[in-house]
Amino acid sequence: MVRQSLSRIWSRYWGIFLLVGLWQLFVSVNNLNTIVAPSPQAVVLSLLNNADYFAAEALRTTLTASGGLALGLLLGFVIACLSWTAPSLSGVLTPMALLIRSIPIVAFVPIIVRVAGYGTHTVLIVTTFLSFFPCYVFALSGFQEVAQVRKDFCCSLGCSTSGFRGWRFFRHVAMPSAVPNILTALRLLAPTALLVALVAEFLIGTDGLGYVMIRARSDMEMDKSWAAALLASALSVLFFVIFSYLDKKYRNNWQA
Amino acid sequence: MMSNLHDVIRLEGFLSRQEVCMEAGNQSTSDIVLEGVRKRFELAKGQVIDAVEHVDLNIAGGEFIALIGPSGCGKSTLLRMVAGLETPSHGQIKIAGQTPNECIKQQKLGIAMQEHGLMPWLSAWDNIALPFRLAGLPVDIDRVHELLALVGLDEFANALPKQLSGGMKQRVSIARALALEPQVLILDEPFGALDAVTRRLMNNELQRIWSRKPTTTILVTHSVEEAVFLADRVCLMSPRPGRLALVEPITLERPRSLETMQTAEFRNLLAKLTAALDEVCMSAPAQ
Repeated sequence: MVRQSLSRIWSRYWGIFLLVGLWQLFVSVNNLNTIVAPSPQAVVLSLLNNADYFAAEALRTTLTASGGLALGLLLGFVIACLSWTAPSLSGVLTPMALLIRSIPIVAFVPIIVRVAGYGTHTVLIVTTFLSFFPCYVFALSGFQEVAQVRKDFCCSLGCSTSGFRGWRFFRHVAMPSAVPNILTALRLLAPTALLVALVAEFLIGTDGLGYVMIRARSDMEMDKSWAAALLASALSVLFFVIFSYLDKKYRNNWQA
Repeated sequence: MMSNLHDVIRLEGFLSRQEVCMEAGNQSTSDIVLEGVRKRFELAKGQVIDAVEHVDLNIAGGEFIALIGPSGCGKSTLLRMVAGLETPSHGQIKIAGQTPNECIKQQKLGIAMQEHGLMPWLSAWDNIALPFRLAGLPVDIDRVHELLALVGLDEFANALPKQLSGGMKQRVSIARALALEPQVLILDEPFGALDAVTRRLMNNELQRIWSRKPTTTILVTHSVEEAVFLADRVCLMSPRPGRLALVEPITLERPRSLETMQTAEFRNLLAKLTAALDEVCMSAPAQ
């Protein structure tokens, strides 16, 4: 039983073990100082020795990232609802959404800092802002992609399929139709939200894993800095796995 | 004891509703009148296509009409005009004295299409309850159960469409079309995507459902057999632009069953209409 699951882990993740092995080898053979490149052993030790500290910072980053994602989703969803009701609004918002998406976050952060100042709340604002537009675009296209045969069915019941008078159609048909789109948006955005939160913490934060990374590096504690980076990578993968699972689980029910 | 009483009450409710509708049928409140109906579609740059050219037809309340004709002859367009999904370019359509648009606002029409168009995220029960919700009416729980039983799917109330077979989905779709007790039922090839055997069984089923409450029905189909089996009158349309080439009354006794298809009368009608269909297809220029 144990041997079986061990061999399964090995067959699936041997690439990661190989990478860690090469890393250890590289550090040992070149006899590198911890300041230049800490060994995996040193990184893991640092992680274990400061477990509470890292857990608290990781939790903070997770909360900021998921909070920003949730706020962005809520905002995107609400504005998409409004856009569906008043199509002229989407004519203004869609090009803006594309524009904002193409601005690199590094160029974007200093502007927000000027307005909101340094700290966790600004990190939250940046994450929200960058999650908002994809959520908006995915939700709106979901609302608009109701199959013609379903629209015809609703029309045949005297139910309007657009504008304010179509709110019943929206509530019972268009909104549920958009669920797979919203799940896709979340799956794609979850790791991005975490990345954005980390970068924002790195640049302007006062706590969180991103802040730990830059702070430990300036203190020459490379093992601590790398430990934070490792933890951030693990979190990012975890985010992706969770939302992929949700996507897979619920999308099934949307196939006729 | 309690459940027996409940059943009696439900049964009474069902019968009285049926009687009311029968009376309404006798008063011909669901008469459909098509007068000089034409439909012209505008393509790019002044190009036009005449889909339907001058159709006159009177349909009596409670009558079952089947529309047959070659592909692209405008039968679906004609049906969509009756359903208020398209407006005629010329002429007019009146259902019990009202325009199709007025009718759909009062939920007097039920439609079922070849693509069932069920909501994949809703159970069979919720799909049948959806017309109530879309029309802003309180869901009549007994009515939904009754319809599920009528189409023989009471055990599948909680099943999602993906868990149902093609035939079952079409049955849900027909039950959904009947949910608000429409005066006119519009069926556009509802069994077009099913295999031959299932299709024949479904026709028998539809015949049974329809006989329990004869509702004015217009059915578009490719199958002459289906048309003869189900209809009171079969209307044959010519190739585009569609006109009525032949209207054939079907005098087969009701209720009809699978045995009806074995009778000489059925076969004669089938042969006659198939020959007529071949003729209109042949006489038209190749498309």
